[in-house]
Amino acid sequence: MKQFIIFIAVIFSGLLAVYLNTENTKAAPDSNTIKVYANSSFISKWGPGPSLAELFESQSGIKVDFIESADVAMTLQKISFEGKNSVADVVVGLDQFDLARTANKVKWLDIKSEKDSDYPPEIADIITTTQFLAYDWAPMAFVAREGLPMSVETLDDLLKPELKGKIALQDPRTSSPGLQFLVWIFESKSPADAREYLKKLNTQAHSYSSGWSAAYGLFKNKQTDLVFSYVTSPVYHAVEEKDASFISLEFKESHPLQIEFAGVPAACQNCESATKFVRFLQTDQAQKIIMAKNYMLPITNSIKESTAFDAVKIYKTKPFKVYEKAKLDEWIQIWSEIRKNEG
Amino acid sequence: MKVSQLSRNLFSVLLLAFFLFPYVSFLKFFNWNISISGSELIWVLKNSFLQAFTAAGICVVLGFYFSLGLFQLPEKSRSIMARLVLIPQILPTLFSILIAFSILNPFPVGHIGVIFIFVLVNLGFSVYQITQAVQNKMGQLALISEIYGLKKSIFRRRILIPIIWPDLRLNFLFVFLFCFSSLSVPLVAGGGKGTNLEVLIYEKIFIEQNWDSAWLLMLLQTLLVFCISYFLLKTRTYAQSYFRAHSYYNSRLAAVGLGIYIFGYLGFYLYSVINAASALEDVLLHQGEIIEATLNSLYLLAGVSATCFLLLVLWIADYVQWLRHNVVVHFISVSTVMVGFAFYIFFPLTNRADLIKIPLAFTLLFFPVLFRIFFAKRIEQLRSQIIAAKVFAVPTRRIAFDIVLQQLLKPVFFSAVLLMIWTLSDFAISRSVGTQSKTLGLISEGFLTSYRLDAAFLISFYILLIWLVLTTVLHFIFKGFYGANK
Repeated sequence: MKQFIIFIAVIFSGLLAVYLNTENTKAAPDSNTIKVYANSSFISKWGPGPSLAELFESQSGIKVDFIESADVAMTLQKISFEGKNSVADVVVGLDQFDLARTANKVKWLDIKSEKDSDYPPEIADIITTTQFLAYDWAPMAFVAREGLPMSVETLDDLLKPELKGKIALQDPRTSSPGLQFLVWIFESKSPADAREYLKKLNTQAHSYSSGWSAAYGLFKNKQTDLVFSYVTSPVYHAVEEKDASFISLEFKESHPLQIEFAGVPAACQNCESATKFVRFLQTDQAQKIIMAKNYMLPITNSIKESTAFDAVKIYKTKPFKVYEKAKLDEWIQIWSEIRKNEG
Repeated sequence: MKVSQLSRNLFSVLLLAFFLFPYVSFLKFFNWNISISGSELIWVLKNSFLQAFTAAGICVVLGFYFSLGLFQLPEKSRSIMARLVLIPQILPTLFSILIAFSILNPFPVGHIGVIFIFVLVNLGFSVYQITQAVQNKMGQLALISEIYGLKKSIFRRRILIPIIWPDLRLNFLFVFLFCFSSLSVPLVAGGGKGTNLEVLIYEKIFIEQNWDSAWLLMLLQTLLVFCISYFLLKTRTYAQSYFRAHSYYNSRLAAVGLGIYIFGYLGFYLYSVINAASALEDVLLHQGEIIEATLNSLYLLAGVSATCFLLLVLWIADYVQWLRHNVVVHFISVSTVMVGFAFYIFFPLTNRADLIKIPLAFTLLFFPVLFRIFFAKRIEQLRSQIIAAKVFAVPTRRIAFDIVLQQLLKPVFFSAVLLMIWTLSDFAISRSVGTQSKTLGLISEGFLTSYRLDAAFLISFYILLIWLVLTTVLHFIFKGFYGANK
C-alpha cells in the first residue's frame, strides 16, 4: 500500500517540479536565444521555420528556439495567463482576426518595418498596424479544376444550380478561411442581401468543414468542384505535383486578403533579438524561403520575379482592415441562426 | 483518525485529484465572465443527443448482430478480423469522412449523414467489444441450451442478450461518448444540425476567447457524461467462465454483413492508399523526420502504457481497500481541447516536458474509458475472492498482484492493443497539449494541413503497419509467458 501512495506522491511531485521548473526557466533566460511561437506547418521540415532559423543564426549569431503552438488562440491565452512570466519572444502566424482578438489580451511592442515602402499596393494599408509586421499574404479565392462547365465570376454565380452541393466551405466558428468568406459576403452585400445570400448558399455548400484541411481534402478527393482557399493554392500543385490543372477563380467582387503577421509580446525576454527576428522575416532572403515553403506571396513584389509565383494573377482585393470583434461576433451569430433554421 | 485510515483516504483523494486536475486548474485563472445563450445551449444539446444516441443505438444493435458473423469465422480468421474491425475507429476522422462520401453519393447531409459516419466509424468497435463480452461471459451455456432443447432464437433472446446486456449498455455509452464529443463529423455532414456542444466550446475559445464559458461548458459536458455513466452502468456482475464456441453464436448472413462493412471500408481506404503511392517520393524526402517521429511515438507509447499500468495497479489497490470503485470511474473527460489546454498552460513547452505531460494527458483521457470497457466489471467479479483474501489478512499488495492482476491478463492485452493504436495515431490530444516532439500522428496531421492529403494517407498506413507488428509481438509475449488459453 505504501508503495502506491509513494507512486501517487511521485506523480504529483513531478507535476509540481515541472511547474516550478517553468518559473526557473523564466528566472534565467538565455540572452542569445529567442523563443518563437509558431504553428506546426511553419516549423515542420517542409515549412520555412528550420531554414529561417538557420539563416538568422548565421547572420546574427542569435539562436531561434521554435515552440510549436497548439493554436494561435491557445497561445495568446497562455501568454495572457502567464503575464510577465511568459517565455514568448515572438509569435508568428497571426492573421487579421487574431489582431482584433488579441487587442485586449496581450500587450505588444511597437515595431517599425524597414520595408513598408516596398509593400505591394494590395497590402499597403498594413503600415497602419504598428505592433505587427506582415511576412506573407495571399488573396483568397475559390479553387477549381480546369474545365469547370460553367463560369463562376461573382459570389452570385456560386448559387448556380449546377453547383448545388459542390462547394467545400469552412465553418467560420472554427476556421480562419471560413471567417474570411463570411466577412467577404457581408462586406460585398447589404446586410439584408447578405442574409438572403447565406440562406441560398446553404443548399450550394457541400459542407462547412471544421478547418481548411478538411475542406481541401474533400475537394482533392473530387467530392466537390470548388473549395475556398488561396490564389496561390494552384502553384503548390503545379510545383510539387507537376499538375497544372488547378486554377483559382477571379471574382468581380474584390477578394478578401489573408495576411500573416509576427509580433513581439511586451513581456518578451530578449526583446531586441526578437525585434531583429521579426524584421528579418521581411528581408529578401527570408521572403524567398517563406514564399517557397508556405506557398504564399512575399511582401515585396521583386522577390517573386522569375518564379512560379510571378504567374499568379493578383485579383482586385479588399483593403486591409482589422475587424472589430463585436462585428465579427454579429456576423457569426447571423450565420449560425441561418444555419440553425435551415435544419 | 488512525494513520492507516488516513492513508486510505489520502490514497482515494489523490486518485480523485489526478482526474479532476483539468477542471480545477482553470480556477487559478477564472474571472467568472460567463456568456452562454440558454436557447442555443438547449439546441446544441438536442443535436448532440439525437445524433449520438441514435448512432450508439444502431452500433449496438448491428454490433451485436455482426458479432454473430464474427463467430461464424474459423478461430484464426476471427482473431485477425477482430483486429481489422477496429481500424475505422482509429484512422483520422477525415479519412472516414472521405470514405463515407465515396460510399454515398449524393451524401445525405443532416442528421442522417452524421449518424451514417458515426456508425461507419464506431460499428467495428462495437463488434469487437460485444464479441469480447460473449467470450468472457457465455462459457458453455450455448452447448447446455442445445442439450436442453432450446432453439437458437430462444437462446439468443432469453439467455445471450440478458447476460451480455450490461456490456451492450457499456458499449452504447462509449459509442455515445465518441459521437457526443466529435467536432469534425457534425460540421462536415450535419448541415444546419452540425452544431453540437463541442462546437460551442470551440466557438467560446476561438471566436469569443471566453475561456470561462468554455470551461463551464466542459464541466456541463463532463457532468452529463458522469450522470449517464453512473445511472446506465449500475449493473450486476457475472462470473467469468471458459468460453466454448457453438453454432448458436454463428450467423452466415451476419458474416456477410460484417464482411461487406469491413472490406467495403478497407477497400475504399486501400484504394486511397494505392492512389496515394505517387506521394511516396515526397514522404521519403522526410524519412529522417518520420524515423524520429516513430521513435518518439514508441517512446511515448511506452510512457503511456507504463503510466496506465501503474494507475491500474493503484486503482485495484483502491478497490481492495474499499471494495468499491473510486467515484472517478465515472469521470470520463470528453473535451480534448479543454483537458489539453490545462496541460498546455501548466507545463513548459519543451521536448522534455512532453515526456511527462503526454503520458499524463493520455492517461487522463484514455484510462477511464479503457477501465470501464475492460476492467471495472472484471474486478467486481473478483470481489468474493478479494474478501476471502482480506479475511485471511493477505496484504493488499499481494491481493492486487497475485490475485486480481493474475486474472486480468486478457483484458490487459486487449486494452493494450487499443491503447497502442490510440496513442500512435493521435494528433488531437498531442496538438492541444502543445506537444513539441514530433509524433507519427502529428506528422500525418501536418501533411493534411499543407496540401499533402496523399502523404497523410501513406503515413496512416505506416501507423497501421506498426500497430499490427506491435500487436503481434505483444500477442506472442502474452502467449509465451502465460500460455495460449489465458
